[in-house]
Amino acid sequence: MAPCAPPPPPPRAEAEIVAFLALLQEQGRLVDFVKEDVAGASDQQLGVAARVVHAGCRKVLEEYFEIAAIHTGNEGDNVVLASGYDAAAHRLLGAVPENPPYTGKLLHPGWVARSVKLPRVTGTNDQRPWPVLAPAEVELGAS
Amino acid sequence: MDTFFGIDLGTSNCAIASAGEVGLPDILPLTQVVTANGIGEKSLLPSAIYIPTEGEFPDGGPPLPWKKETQKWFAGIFARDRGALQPDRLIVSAKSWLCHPHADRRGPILPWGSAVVSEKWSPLEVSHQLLLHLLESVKSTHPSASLDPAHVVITVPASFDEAARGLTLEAAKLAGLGEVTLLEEPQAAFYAWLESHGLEWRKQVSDGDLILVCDVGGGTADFSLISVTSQAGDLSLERVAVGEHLLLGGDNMDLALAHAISEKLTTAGTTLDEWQFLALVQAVRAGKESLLSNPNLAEVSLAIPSRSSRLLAGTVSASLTQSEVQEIVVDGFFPVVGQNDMPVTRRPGGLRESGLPYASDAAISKHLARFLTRAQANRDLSTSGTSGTLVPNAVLFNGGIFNASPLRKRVIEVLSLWSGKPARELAGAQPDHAVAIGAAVYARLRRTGKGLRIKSGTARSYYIGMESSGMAVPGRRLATKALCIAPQGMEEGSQHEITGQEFFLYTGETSEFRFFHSDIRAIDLAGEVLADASVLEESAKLEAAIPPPAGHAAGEEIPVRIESRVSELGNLEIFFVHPPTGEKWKLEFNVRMQ
Repeated sequence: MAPCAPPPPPPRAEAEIVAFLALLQEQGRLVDFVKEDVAGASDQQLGVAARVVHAGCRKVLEEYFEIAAIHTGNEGDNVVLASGYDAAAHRLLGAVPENPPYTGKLLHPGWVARSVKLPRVTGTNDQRPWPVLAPAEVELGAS
Repeated sequence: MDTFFGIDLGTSNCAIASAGEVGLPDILPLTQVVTANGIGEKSLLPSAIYIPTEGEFPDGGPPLPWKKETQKWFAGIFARDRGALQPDRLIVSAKSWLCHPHADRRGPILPWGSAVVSEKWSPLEVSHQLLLHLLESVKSTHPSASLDPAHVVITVPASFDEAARGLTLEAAKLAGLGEVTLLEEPQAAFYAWLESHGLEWRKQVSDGDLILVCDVGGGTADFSLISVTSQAGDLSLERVAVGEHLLLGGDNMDLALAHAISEKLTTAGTTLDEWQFLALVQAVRAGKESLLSNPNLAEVSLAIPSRSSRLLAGTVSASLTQSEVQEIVVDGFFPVVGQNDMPVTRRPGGLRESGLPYASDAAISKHLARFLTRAQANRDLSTSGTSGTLVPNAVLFNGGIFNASPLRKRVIEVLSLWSGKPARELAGAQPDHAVAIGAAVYARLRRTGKGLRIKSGTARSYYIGMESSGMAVPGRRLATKALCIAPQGMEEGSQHEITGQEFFLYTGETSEFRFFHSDIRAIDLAGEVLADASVLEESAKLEAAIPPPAGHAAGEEIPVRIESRVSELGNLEIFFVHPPTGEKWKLEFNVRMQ
């Protein structure tokens, strides 16, 4: 009889992503916000909720990433990309000839992560391959 | 190459810095549990312990790399955040309990008032475990680091008395560090400032300057005065006064703002529950920082979510205005007051809830006035004929709240008003990590001897309570006398022997010893007897049974001599000596007899 195949290792990458989403939820209520139906909400209501999401998600980004603009200039500035430019860090729009140099107007300065220091995920296993996004909360002595 | 370590064992946060033989120290990353499922490195370890229920983490929770057995508790960011929602399972501000003279600092009393935790912690144990956490983290991220106790400095508030210092040293020993050196936090901040300025510091400081180190953290305020004098052209520094332990800091400001906003909302018909109030405190902290850093901002909007998943319906909107921050934080905590405007020191009620002795008066400028008045009274005792008021002309700020320039400006304004001359700020302070960095600088300085040292003897005089030998008079209790065993200003390596009189010690039976201190009695010399100890502050009480020396029976009274000395590490040690047998008992403040 053929031996059983070993169980697949826990999906680490997915666990990391779920843990990151859990951070955005914990600090910035991102999952709550996105899961809510906003069709009937007023801009006033939406704006108040957006402050919670903004403050919390910003805190997470500041705490765990170092994020910098790719171009330090202002939007609208003229930009020249010489041959050998970092193609992965630039997206060209419009009629793009075959070869650089390219001259154009900066529409978006771009972002790049200079460092990432996310927590190392622990406690995942076969039964629970990724962390809980947000635990259900139960207040004692309040019912 | 030698490495030196400075440990800031803070009331709210801990940090550790390491220094090589030259150059500026680095803040080391501290591994800790950051979420219920994650471990990471941060430059600060919140001084918080969370004690989960037995079933909360069946697998023990995120395992720290150095922990072998299952964790029964957590320290750091996750502990602080999770504990905020279960305050009965959270230990914070344990360090303030460590210097609380009426608390059992070796007894399981924390979390204070908690009825749900089965195994409570002693304040000493909290310091021990936080230190252990810091050390294990350093060892796991820097496996080659050797933590030679001679290279380690731990900081304590300048206001810590000998009992609290002794407990900190004991916590270091329990954590396996051995005999380390302690350094007062405001001095550490000053060493960090000196080091970061290289030789340039002399351009900011000159002969005759009196520098206030104004250290306001999350929950405590700590003041020290450093005088600058010139001797043969070289500047020398001396720490001339330290303040009282003051439980008042940045957290009080956030709470005061949150209460004001909460009342405003109640008036408008919205009542916040306790969880929304927690969210409000977070929101006002960020709002306060924005408003203080930008005086042109008239107001900020605050959004206070409920714990419901329905963010749109459950979020309350409020606003925090520039004038509220000015009124509550700037004018409330740093009012422009006169130099004789003392803080209210006691609440009017006769009965006080047990717990930490929080300052009753939020006005930090009044506490500063009291500090300077006491420092001046003390100076005038020790130097005959000195006149003039004691007002610093320069300030070194420390603590996160002083990132806000309006608060720094206000302190400078108040001091300038008091002295009638403009005071100035020592530029280039780094309020967030200065204490750990300065401690590492000092650790290096002690070993290499290279660099300027702040001269600092014992800031207080110390006393032991003595029963009077007067006749018993019915209905009249004899006052406890106090014998000065260590005068102010004792420096490292110095000692006093109290001669000329003998004291009697009961042996073999448990006796009570009471210790006192004062920071305003520069005049008392070793051996001096005060008729009534009630003019002093009580630091500790100790019950101990002194074993009878050889040839003496238990219960016998034996004559003893008292010796006090300040060790090379700067610790005050008191001995009872029995001259006939030469036996010696070391008496550690509030610690057992040895």
